[in-house]
Amino acid sequence: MGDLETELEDLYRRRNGAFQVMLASVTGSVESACDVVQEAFVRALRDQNGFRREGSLEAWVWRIAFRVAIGSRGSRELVVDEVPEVAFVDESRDLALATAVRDLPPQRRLAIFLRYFADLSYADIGAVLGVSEGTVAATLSQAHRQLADTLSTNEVMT
Amino acid sequence: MSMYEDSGLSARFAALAPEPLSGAWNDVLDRAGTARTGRQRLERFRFVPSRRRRLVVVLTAVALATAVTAAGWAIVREVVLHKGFVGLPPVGATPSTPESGELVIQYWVDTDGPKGTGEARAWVYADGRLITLRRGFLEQRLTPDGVELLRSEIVSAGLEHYPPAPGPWIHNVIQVRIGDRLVGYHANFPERLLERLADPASWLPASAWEDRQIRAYVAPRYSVKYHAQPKTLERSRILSLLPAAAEDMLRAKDAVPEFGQLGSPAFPPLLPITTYSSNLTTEEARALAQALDDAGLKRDRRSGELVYSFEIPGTSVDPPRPAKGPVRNEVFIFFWPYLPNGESICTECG
Repeated sequence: MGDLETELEDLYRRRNGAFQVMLASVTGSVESACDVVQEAFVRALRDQNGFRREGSLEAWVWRIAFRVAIGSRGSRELVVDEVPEVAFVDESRDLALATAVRDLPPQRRLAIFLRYFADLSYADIGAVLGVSEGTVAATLSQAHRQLADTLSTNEVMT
Repeated sequence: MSMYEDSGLSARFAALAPEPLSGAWNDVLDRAGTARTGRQRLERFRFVPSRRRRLVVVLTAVALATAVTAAGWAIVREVVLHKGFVGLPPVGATPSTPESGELVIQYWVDTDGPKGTGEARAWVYADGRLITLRRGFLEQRLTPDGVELLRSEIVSAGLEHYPPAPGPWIHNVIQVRIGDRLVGYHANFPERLLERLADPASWLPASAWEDRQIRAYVAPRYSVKYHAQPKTLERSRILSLLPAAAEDMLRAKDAVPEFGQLGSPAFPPLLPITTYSSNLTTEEARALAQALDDAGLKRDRRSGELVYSFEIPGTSVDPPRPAKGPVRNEVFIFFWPYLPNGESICTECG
């Protein structure tokens, strides 16, 4: 138990900020995201046998965190397969990008958030979403293309 | 990764990211119900009257000494001293000799190439000692010719011709004795040299080694450093917060103040911080650590060195930017081993 607890502590210290930033886009505020992150690590600590070292520890905690975040919104838990809805906490800082992201299909939008807010590798995004790394690459590629098209159109118009 | 992702989106997403809040790992442990935090135990500890505290410390030390037999220590020495250790050496470990030595080479380089091990950090002395830092300090012995071979390998690489490395002089630094002075380089070093510095045993001939067996480096002295952060405190105030036995030990020692700053240059203003440093023998350091253990202070389990910390009850201070507060003010106590050249080493810095 000791080793995994140390790994969890290390992960928390390194990545607490990234977890909060990403999960704020699910819960709607940094304050609630901070609470969700702590609860996710609490559950990870209590259920250390649930981590079978088949993937990265971080991906496992992300899955827990999403379940907690979705639960905190009043939804039932264990719904990562349904693709959690994500949105910027403060769209006004870059309305063009926020609008373009909002137009993405939910799966692409989530992949984009995991890439840029959570700073996850393609492999870890795949582990969180339950898809292959190749699917992540394809999803992100499509998302980038759609964002580029939307942004170039909108920003040329404005 | 597409060019579009590289060039534009990262910065725009960064601008849209909300600022995270600070969150202490102790809070997670508290919620998990596994808490045995230094803070809680310290608060309880500090209500015990002073004389009784001293008695508790003494009785605990006696009980420990009785419980651990000489045979037990022998096994500990055998196992630990061939692997290295973090923190203080086991009782009875013989300090490395001689106590002081002339530094010939020192390096701390990144070795991320195909054969790299991540980073290599070592000190080589004229008396032949090669001390490397892995998890704890390790010692091997070179012959005089071995020291010269290693020195020549560095000097002949022509490091003065390599472009300077970016960033501060922490990683990717080599110092080598040329004549009567140590010359320092901070550059993008050639791959061949990095591979050789990462693993001298892979290329130095057998004749270069006086004793190739790896043993733990046992320091004769420790530099004990303590400070409060994020709000700096005077030495007397910090000492008054320590367990009585630890306070007595450190108060009896001279302390040198070192002035630094806390925070990131990207987020001014930096916070001033004064660290106090005292020179202790290994036995004194062990007694101090025992007093802190007995008081229930938390050891930092992540660290590759011995560090204690505790939050000061009732405090509420602002952390350095961009973190947001308020947070409790904390006291940290570090134990840094001295190397033969008289330098105490922070194994977690950089």
